[in-house]
Amino acid sequence: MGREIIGPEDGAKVQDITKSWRKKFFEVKEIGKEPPLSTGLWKKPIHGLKIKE
Amino acid sequence: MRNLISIDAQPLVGGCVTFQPKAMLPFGAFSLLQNIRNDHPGFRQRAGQRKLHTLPDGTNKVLSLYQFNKTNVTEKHFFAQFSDGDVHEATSTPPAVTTGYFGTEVFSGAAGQVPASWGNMGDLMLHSNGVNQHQIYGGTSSPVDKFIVFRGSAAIPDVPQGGEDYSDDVISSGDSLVAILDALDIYANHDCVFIRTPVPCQGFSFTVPSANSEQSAMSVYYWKNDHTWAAVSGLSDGTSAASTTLAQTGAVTWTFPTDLMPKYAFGSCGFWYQIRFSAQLDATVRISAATFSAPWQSLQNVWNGAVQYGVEVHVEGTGTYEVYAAGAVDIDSLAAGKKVYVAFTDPVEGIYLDPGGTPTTTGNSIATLKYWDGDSWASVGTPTDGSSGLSQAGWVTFPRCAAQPLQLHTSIYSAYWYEITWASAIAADTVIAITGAPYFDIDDLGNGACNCVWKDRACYTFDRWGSYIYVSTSDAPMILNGSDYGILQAGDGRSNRVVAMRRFYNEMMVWQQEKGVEGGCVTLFEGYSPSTFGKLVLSSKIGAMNNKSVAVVDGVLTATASDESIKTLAFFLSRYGVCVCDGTSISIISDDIKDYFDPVHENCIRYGYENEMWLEHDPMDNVLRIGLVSGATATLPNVFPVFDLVTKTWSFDTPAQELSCLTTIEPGSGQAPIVMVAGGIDDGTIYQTNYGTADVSTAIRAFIEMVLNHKGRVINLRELLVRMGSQPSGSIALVAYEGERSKFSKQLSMVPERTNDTSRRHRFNCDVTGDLLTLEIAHSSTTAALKIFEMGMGTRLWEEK
Repeated sequence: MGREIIGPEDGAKVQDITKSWRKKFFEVKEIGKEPPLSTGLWKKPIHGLKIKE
Repeated sequence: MRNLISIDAQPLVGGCVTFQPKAMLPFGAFSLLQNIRNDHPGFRQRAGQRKLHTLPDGTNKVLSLYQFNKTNVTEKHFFAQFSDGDVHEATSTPPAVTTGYFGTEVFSGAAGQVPASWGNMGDLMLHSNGVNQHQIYGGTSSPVDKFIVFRGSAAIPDVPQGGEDYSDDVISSGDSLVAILDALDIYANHDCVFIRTPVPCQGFSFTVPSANSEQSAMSVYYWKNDHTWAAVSGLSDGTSAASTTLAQTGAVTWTFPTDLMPKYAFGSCGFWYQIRFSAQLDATVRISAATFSAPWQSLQNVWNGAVQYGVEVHVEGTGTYEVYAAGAVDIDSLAAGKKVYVAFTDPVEGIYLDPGGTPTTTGNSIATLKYWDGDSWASVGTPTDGSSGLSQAGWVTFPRCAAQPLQLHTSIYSAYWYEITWASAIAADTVIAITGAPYFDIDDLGNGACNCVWKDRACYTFDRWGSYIYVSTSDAPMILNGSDYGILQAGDGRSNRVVAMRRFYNEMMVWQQEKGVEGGCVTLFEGYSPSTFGKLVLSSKIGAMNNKSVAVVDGVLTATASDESIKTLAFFLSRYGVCVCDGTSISIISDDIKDYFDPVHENCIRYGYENEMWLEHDPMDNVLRIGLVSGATATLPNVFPVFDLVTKTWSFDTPAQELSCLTTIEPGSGQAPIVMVAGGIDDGTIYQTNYGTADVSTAIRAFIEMVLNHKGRVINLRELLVRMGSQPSGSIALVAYEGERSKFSKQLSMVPERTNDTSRRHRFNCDVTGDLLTLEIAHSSTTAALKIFEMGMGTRLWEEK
C-alpha cells in the first residue's frame, strides 16, 4: 500500500530534481592538491659565440 | 691589441633576442632574424605562399581552417570559417588552385563568432563558433546505423520492435553480406524498411546487387515533431529505372526537413526513417550497402533510450492521495476518472505502462492524459495507447508539450507531472510500473562555445555555465543524458569560460579565458568514464586566448641538466607570454621576445584583441608560428614570431599577406603527404604556405642582424668570411655598423665560382672599430632563397689594459 499524504515530513528539504543533465550532478574528484614539481623542460638557449680568453 | 676571435667560420644557429638592447647581447648573438628558418646548423630563408583561389571573399578575415577527413570511408572536406559568419567548403582540395572563389557556402552563422573549434567523432564533424548552437555534419557517404526490414502482420505500432536487422550487412558492398528485401510488401500490408541514422539526413545511397523488377515507387517518411510519420518533400529516387525502384544502385535524396525529431524505436532512440513501397517488390531484391548524407545542422540532445522510472506516483484516494514508487503502483479497482499522477525529472513524450502479471484483460481506454503547463492541467492531445488499456505492457505516446515543473500535493519534489485517468474502473488487483521516455532541449545550455573529442566522447562547452564541460555518451555525440554521460567543471571554481580543449596523452587539457588580475586556468582531466573522471588544476592564473592559440606537439626534445627526453608538449598563447606545458607544470618560453608581452613596452600585445591572435605548429619546419596583435592601434595580427622547437629560439616572419590562422591538411593530389594552409587577415583569401620563393608575387626579405659586443671593450673587425648555398643568380647585401653608423657595405654574390659547386665562399678584409658593432645580412628575391651556412669574423680587442 502507498503512504497517505499528510504534508511534507518535518525537516524534509524541497528538491528541484528537474533537468539534472544541465547541472553538476556529481563531484569530479580532484587529483592531488597541487601540481607536482617540475625540473623544467629545457635549459635556456645560449646566444652568441663561445670566446676563449 | 690581441685577437678576440679567429676567422674560423662558425655555423649559424639559434635565434634572436628582441627584449634586450643590443649592448646587452653577447658577441655573435642576433638582435633580429626575419624570414629565417634554422637548418640546425645553418640558416635558410623561409618558403613563400600562394593563393589557393583566384577570387577573394571580399575583405573577410579567415577565422579558422579545418579539413574533415573520414576514417571509415574515403571522404574529405576542407572548410574555411570567415569573419562574416559563413563557412565555405573548398571547391578543390589543395594543393589544387581553384579558378574563382574558394568554394561554396555550407553554413551561415551569426555575426561575432570566435575562432571555431572542430572535431571528428566517428566520422561526424563537430563545429563550435561561440554564437550558434554546436554544428554537426555527417558528410556524404557514411553507413547507416540501423537497417531493419519489417514485415508486420498487423498495423505497425508507434514504437515498433522486432523486424529483421541487417544493420551489419549493409556497412559495405565489399563483402558478401546483404539485406534481404525479397517480396517486401506495401505499407498498408504492414511492411517497410526502417533506417536509423546518427544525425538527421537528406539522402541515402543504396548498392543493389539483386535488382527489383516489379514496378513500384519508393517513398521516404521521417518522424515529424507532431508525432506522426510524414513524407519527405522533393524526393528523387536514383535507384529507379522504368518506374521500378531499387532497379539499380543509386542515391535517394530529398529536401532536408526542419521539423524532424528523434524517435524511440527498436530499443534505441535516434533519427528513424521509413522506406515504403507502392507495390510489392519482386522475389529477390537485395541491398549490399546503405549510406546516408547529412548537411550541417545544429546539435540535438537525443535520449539515450534507457527508460526513466517516474520519481513518484500519486494515486487519488478518498480525500487523500497515496504515494507510490513508480516501480509498483497499486491501482487495484481504481474508480473511473480517479487520477494517477506521475512525476518525471524531464518532460516526456511517452509513458510506458506495464501491468506485469495483472493485465486488464478486457482493456480500459485512457480517458484523459494531461501535463502541467504552469498554471493548469492541459491535455497532451490524443495519446496513442500501446498498452491497449492496460491489457499489455506498452507505450502511451503523445506529442511534446510545453510542460512546466510543479511541486504537487506538497511533494518535496519539483518535477514534471502528468495526470492520467481511465474511462472505466481498473480491474481488481492491478499493479503497474510506470516509466517514461524523456526528451531534452539542447538550447537550455545556450550556444555552443567549444568542443573536443576525447575518450570516444564529444566534449562540449556552451555559453551558459561556460566553465562546465558536457561529456557525451561514448560513441554518441548527440546523447547528453543518461548514466554514461558526465559533466565536468574546469578550473578552480571561477566561472571563466573554456576557450580551448585538447587531447593530451590519455588526458584532456582545458584552457579557460583569462579575466581580470586573477587570470584563467589550465586543467587536466583524467579517467576512463564519467564516474572515474578526475581533474588536476595546473594553473589558476594562466589560461589561453582562444581555440586557435593552442597546439599540442608530439616529439619535442627536452633537455634539462639531468635528463634528456622526447615529450609531447602543449604550447599556448597567454596574455603572460607563450607558454608550454608537459602535463605537470607550465613554463613561459617567450623571455627572449618578452617585449611583446611587457605591459609597459610599446610592442606589447593589444588588450581586447585576444580572439585575433593565434599559435600553430608547422610540422614542415618544426616550428611554432604565431600571430600577435602588437601595438596601441593594431586590430589584426601584425607581428609573426616563430619559435624553433629544436634550438628553442625565436625569429620573426613578415609575410606580405598577413595571416590570421594556419593549419595542416591532407592533400588532394601530389607527392607531399601534408600541405600547410593559412587564412588572410583581411583579404578573404586562403593561402598555401611553405610554398615557392615569394609571398604570392612579393619578394621575401630575409634579414639577419648580428651583434659584435664584448664586455664593453672596443673591438676591431678586420676580416670577414661568409659561406652560403649557391644560387644561379643574385647576391646578398652585407652592411657593417659601428653603433648606428654604417661603415661599409658589400654585395656578396651567391653564384658559384665553379659550375655545379653547391656553396659560395667570400673572404675579405675590413676595418671597423667600436664598442658595439652590428653586421646586417639581407637578401630579397622572388626567385632565389637565401641559404647561409657559416660566418667567420676576425676580430681583435682594441684596448689592452
